[in-house]
Amino acid sequence: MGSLGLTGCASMLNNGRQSLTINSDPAGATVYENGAEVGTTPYTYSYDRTDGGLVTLELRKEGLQDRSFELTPGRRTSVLLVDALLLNIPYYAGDNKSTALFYFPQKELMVNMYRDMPTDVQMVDLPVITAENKVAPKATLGKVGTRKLDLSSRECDELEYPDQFTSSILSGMRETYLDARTVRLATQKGDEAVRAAKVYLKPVVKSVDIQLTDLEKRMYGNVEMDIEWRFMSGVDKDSVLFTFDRHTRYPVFAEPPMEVLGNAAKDAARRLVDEDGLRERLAKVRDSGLARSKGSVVQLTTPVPIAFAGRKDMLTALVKAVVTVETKKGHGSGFLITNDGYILTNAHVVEDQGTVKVRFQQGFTLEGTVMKVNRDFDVALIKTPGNDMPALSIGDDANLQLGEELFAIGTPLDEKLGQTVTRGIMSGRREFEGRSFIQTDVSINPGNSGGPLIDETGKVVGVATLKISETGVQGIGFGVPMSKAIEMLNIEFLK
Amino acid sequence: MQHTILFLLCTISAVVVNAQASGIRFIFPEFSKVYGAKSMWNTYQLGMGYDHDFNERLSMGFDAVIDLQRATESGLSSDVTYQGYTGSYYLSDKVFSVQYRTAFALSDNDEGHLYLGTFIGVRTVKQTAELSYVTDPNGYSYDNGPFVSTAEGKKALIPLGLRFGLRGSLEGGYADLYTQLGYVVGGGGSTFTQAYFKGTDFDLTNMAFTLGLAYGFGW
Repeated sequence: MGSLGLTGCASMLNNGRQSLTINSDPAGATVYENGAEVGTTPYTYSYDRTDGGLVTLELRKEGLQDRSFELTPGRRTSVLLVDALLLNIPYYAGDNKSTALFYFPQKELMVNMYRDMPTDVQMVDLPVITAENKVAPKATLGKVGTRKLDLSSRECDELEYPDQFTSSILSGMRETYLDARTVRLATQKGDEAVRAAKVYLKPVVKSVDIQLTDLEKRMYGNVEMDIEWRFMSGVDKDSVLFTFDRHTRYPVFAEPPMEVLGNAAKDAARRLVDEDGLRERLAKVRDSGLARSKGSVVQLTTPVPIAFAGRKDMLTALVKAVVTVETKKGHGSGFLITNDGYILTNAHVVEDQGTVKVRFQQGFTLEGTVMKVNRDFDVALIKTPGNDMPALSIGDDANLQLGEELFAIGTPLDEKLGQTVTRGIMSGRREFEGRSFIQTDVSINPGNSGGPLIDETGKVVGVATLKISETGVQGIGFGVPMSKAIEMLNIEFLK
Repeated sequence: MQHTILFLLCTISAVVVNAQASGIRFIFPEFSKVYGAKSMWNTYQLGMGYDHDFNERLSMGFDAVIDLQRATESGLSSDVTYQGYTGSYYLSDKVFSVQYRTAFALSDNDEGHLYLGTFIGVRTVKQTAELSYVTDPNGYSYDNGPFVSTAEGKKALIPLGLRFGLRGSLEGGYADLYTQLGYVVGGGGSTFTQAYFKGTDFDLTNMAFTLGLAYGFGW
């Protein structure tokens, strides 16, 4: 009797909600409770004693990613106090399933749902620079209960440390079509990443409004943010390509105080990913950026073809047009494409040097001037002084057939191995981030880069560029198609 | 008494089932007010206990303490009067207590915290009073008189009330500085059956007051 009386007394404290309306944005998602379908949003969940204070809910809707979360009700500390003062008799201490111990501090839980990410879309490279915080240093950023928040509050740590905030943004973009990573401008790596991507993202936080209730070190409420997502040009620095000025509302439910703002940033970033047409706009920016990297037109004279009697003599004759390109950091390969000394090679061979040494098969070395570099497509044009040099004829890479024989000539590993010839076949055509490649199993080794890929007719159809060098991987090399190399260096051949 | 022990046993068995974080404590020193007329410092106790946190707010524990004063045999003395005679008695005692306690942590008990709770226990007191001498109304002294030369009594009391303290996390080593205040059921008189002992300094208090310090290690 006494125990019943005490239980009743403690139950009087239980005047909070034990049900919660779960809504989703967009509404109409199917709700699963511990794996079993129970309804669609808006759905009212009533706390069940058998849940033991913890239930796993999952929301599913076609075209959207499943959202799974644990529904942790707040613990009613006043009940625990009464329990302790009554020698733990009313609830019997440790009975975590006691209904009266738990309640939901809010009527509704809104769950933001995100679009499903198709697996077959091409990833878009997106460097992200550190978020800019435009919130006034002493501004009130909201409240936790009656406690006012500002930048020094622990809940706002992420804003105080923008790198942390930016990391949260990146984690929101994870597992989407965006290959986002943080970069720092005015550093070699950062500038290179931005240049290669043609675009970068600069998040600008304009306002933050945090309205939370603290319950047993767990936060409940909302975080509203105004973020201007500035997509900046990676080609013309400091120029804004387009912006998304977005207001987001992130519902907070039973989160640790330190994670609230980070999760809100993550949500805002994920919503940005779902913006209609963003992927297409970024692809367009990249394509136009790539096109711009061609530069002005270079007019060259079509070379006189190298004469050879037959297949047997072909490579012996052609190696004369292949050179070793020496730089301060090492060497690569190249090949003459005109009789007056124009040499084609890889951009990564010449790196950022203005002049290079070019060693010819005949044994002499000339100084070459780097005329043009297109780093996006990894091709470069070098000019050496000279006339009547043997030059390779340009072939038609579009007509290359799968399995067709290809030869690579270059200077692998050591300069003493100049004009080494290897043989393979055309394995396929590949497209990576707007860049096309010929895949081949021709042996491409360090030093081969920039050398020609030659077809069965003795014409150059590609520039040997890279190979996949991982343990257990063999015979996967790539070359830039000759037509692309010529297009991206904006070369015009005059008859 | 039997009901109390039964309740404690039931609670112990239930606690084992719901273990969250536990610790063993060594209580030293603990001062409890046992006699109404004497200060609490007269009962200097040590003991052991068990602590258990059910969750970040709710804890319980058991303690068993004995009074060290009997080891030192520093007893109490008191005069009793009967029909004009005054008997001077010298008292020695044995005090043993067990208690069950609960606590509500005012902040997370995984860290140092203040707590508020309740306690209930059983305190057994065995008193032995030795008669030293007797003085009659005329001022003459005798070895005996209307008094028993040796009086013995035993009593079980039930102290209960509120407990307030400051405790560390049970993880690893911890300490607990506490005080208890309450009522002692069965207090208010001595353990002796002789009427002339009533109202003397040998009367046990009915107010529970304890101050103590404990050190423990937990897991």
